[in-house]
Amino acid sequence: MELVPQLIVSGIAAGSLYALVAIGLVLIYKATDIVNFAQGESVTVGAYMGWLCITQFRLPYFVAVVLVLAGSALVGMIVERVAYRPLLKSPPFTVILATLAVGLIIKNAIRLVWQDTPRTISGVFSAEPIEIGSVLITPERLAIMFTVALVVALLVLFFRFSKLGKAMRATAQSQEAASLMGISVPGIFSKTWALGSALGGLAGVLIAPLVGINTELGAVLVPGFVAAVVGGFTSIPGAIVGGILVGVLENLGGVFISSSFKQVVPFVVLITVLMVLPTGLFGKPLRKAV
Amino acid sequence: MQDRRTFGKLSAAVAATMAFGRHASAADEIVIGYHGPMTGPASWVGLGGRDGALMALGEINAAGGVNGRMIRMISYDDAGKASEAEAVAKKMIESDKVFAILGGGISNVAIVVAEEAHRGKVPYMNGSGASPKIMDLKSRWTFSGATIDVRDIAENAAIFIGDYLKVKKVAVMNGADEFSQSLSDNVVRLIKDRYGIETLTRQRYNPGETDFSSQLLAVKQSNPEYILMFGLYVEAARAVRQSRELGIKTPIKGDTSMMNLGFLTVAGAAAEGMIAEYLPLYFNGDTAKDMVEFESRYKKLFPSYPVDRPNYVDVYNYGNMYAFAEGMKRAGKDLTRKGLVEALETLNNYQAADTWPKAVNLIQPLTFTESHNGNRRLSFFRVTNGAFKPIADFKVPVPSTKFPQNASLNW
Repeated sequence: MELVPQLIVSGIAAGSLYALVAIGLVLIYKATDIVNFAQGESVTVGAYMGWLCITQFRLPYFVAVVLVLAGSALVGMIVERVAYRPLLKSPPFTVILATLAVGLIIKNAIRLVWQDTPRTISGVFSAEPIEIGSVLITPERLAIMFTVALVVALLVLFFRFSKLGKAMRATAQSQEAASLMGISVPGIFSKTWALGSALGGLAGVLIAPLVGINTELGAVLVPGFVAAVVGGFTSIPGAIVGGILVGVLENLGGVFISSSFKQVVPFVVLITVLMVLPTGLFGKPLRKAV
Repeated sequence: MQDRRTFGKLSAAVAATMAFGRHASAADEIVIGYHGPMTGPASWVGLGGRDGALMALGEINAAGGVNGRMIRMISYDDAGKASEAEAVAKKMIESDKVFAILGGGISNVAIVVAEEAHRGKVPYMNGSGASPKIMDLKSRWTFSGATIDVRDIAENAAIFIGDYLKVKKVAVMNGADEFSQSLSDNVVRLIKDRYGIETLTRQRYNPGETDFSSQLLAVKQSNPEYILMFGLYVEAARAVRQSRELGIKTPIKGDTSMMNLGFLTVAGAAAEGMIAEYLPLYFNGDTAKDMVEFESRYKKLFPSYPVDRPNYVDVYNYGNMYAFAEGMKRAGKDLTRKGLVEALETLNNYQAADTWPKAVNLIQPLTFTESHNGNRRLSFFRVTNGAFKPIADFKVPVPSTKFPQNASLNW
């Protein structure tokens, strides 16, 4: 049992990245009703952009992070304009397939250029663990957790106080009403995709120094997706709680059940949550007028 | 100038070997099929195997080919999946009608291709699969060249752990893939039976996993003298890095997969002091004459080679292609598939430079005179100052496994 505090802290560290991916999924889903299965590839794109900035252009890590945010946002806007906007009036299933296709295209385009060879970048924080009570954690993992917390706080402020954030919330509630209020819905869609992609890119550049960079980084979509569903899929706090829950339960399940069972644990949680709370932990029931 | 002309000839020869998409085998050429995972997490295996073979092929063709005939290679991506490998093997055998097949595939795929090659009576050189299931097919058509059977790897490793590391308690972390599972099972059994070494915990991880804290903490809690790690190198490198983050100072011994520049790239300083085993004679960057020459030619041929290349699979298939070519040469002008098999069975303690002056010797000498398992030895290396350096004070004896003798194999 003495392992439990360490397992929880390590789980929170892993879960904070799942949360970042989940928030990207939630933002896009709330605004556009699309589940973006290419969100994992946003993570990959961010990691590769970071690698390009740092190793090819010799830029400092923090400059790279800013450029990755901007570059990922741009990629998100371009993908939305080229791949999703023409399908705006198509059935949701068509658009979901389009996101899967976009993910595959991005992954294979990266492979064409750089193959699957792993790469790495150096972060700015130490990888030497520090002891806090009975728990060890590295400054670079603490920095990631702090960054995720900061991003969440900024998002809350953005949605509550900025004009654009309010317009996004309005569009998420009712596209028709938002349009009648003079909000450009396609414009909001574009900016939402940019924001979602930027969050994915941020996750990529944050995780890259810890786990290296290859085209399979997008696999983080799976725990991110589970986190979003557990959290209710429409709730940013839900995505955060879901991400941390998945990270912690993976760790506890891996030790106290079996390492083979580790990746099954989140799905067990997912099914359990959906059976007890079909709308997830923080989701609101969908009501339709008949 | 001479160098430039030679390189030009070599490049042209390689370009010719890469002319994908042509099907029929012309009278003046011999078509070899190649399969390996060129996409997905194991693509470094398939791409390395392809490029090493292409390099050898370029040199062989530049030297006039085999008995006056050029060799051409058709490459297919099997994605590391058995289902795709089966389709690829059928295409190579039935549609492309390749003369022989060279593999750069991981074990689960090599098993399927060996089965298809046996059915189609096509010689198959297993390039990098180590699963016992490949050679347990007892097919006379299948050879294992530079790579060695997992039972031999396991015995080499067990002897090293028992006689050199002299530990009594270990913890095991292994990947969920066929190779890692099979190898770790064998090593755990052998170290227990022969040396009484106790395995305190066994932890498993999946391809693509990025967080290993639960497995590593379980290992830490068991308090082993050594951690034995088996698995595809990207995940293993992440785990090694994370082990140090979690304050685990226990030394780590890896396996053949981890002898890779990509491993060192991802694991970084956390890999320092780690031990791993290897089949080729030298690791990248070694100052041995043959390795320096190989890397120099490789870099000229593939100027935009990635950070972890050439890797050991490049080296395996460089040697395997030469062995194939030597077999074809020995089989004579009236080359038949059966003739190639019988000629390969005459290779005894064979190194490429014995008969091909431009070749360099990078793999252990191959012997097919008794069984189709051409190589049976490993060497051990330790990460010192960021590079794998040979452990010179230990040499493993030839393992005891008895493989089926050539005469008992089935046509």
